[in-house]
Amino acid sequence: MSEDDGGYGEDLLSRALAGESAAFRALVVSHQRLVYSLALRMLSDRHQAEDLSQEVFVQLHRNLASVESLTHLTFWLRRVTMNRAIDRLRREPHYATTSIDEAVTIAAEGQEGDPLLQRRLRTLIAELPPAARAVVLLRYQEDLDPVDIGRTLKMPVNTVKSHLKRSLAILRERMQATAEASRVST
Amino acid sequence: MSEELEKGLRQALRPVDPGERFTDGVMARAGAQESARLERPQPDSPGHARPWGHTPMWRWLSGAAAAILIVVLVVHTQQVRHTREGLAARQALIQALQVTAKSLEFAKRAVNDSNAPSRVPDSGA
Repeated sequence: MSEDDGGYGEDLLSRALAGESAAFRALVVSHQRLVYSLALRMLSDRHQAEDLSQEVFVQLHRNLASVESLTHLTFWLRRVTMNRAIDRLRREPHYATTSIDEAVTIAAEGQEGDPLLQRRLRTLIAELPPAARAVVLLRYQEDLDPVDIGRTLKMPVNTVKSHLKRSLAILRERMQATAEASRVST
Repeated sequence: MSEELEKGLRQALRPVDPGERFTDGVMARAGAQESARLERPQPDSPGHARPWGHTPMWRWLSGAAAAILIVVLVVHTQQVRHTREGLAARQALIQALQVTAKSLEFAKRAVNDSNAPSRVPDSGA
């Protein structure tokens, strides 16, 4: 669902605001992929990600009146998901070191690209500190620019840029180390 | 390498769908939350029984009573202090009067003694 869907999304939003349950359900269906994917990549655990995503939508249900538009809804969902995920990682830091759920990893692999490389990248992303991980996810999963990432995470743009630069350097370095290790072993 | 890495990241981070029952779970949780909210009486609804001390009327009355009590205590303390001071002054005045009376008595006696005619003892001549 996007802003150029002929007003269908805005219509859904206003119907959900008026208390129509089916409209709220449609909003959940159209945004659950976004919320769940962010939660999954932040927590690296399918069940935790589903639980957190459901909490986000329940919070949305409670605060629907504060949502002004479909664009604002997407922004709100990203922000709340990331804040909740970072909070959960702080409370229960073991998620930060949990290896990514393989069943989901395989399900997420598309036809495009090298599945092994993608799996390795996801594992390396899961090893990044929560704030840096959030920045990388919003940049490469949600395709946001540093300004929008900063707005979503309430972070200065320069901090966003430095997280991105540092994270990419770490990922590049570890990918090279993996490639060299596999060359040596063969 | 950088472009390749960024391309790899976009491929690795393709969005994924949650489980089939995800939406039902959200609706059930939202419904439960709504029911709980409706069952809980709203603060201003007639069914909502606030503890007596929390109603605005009682809050106002207890505040007024506390203020009156403080005023009464202050006035009473001042009155007790004034009474004590008055009694002490009275006592001091009585003492002063007593001392004065004694002094006057003493002076009177002295005057009387000095004015009395001296008796010449009868010689018998």
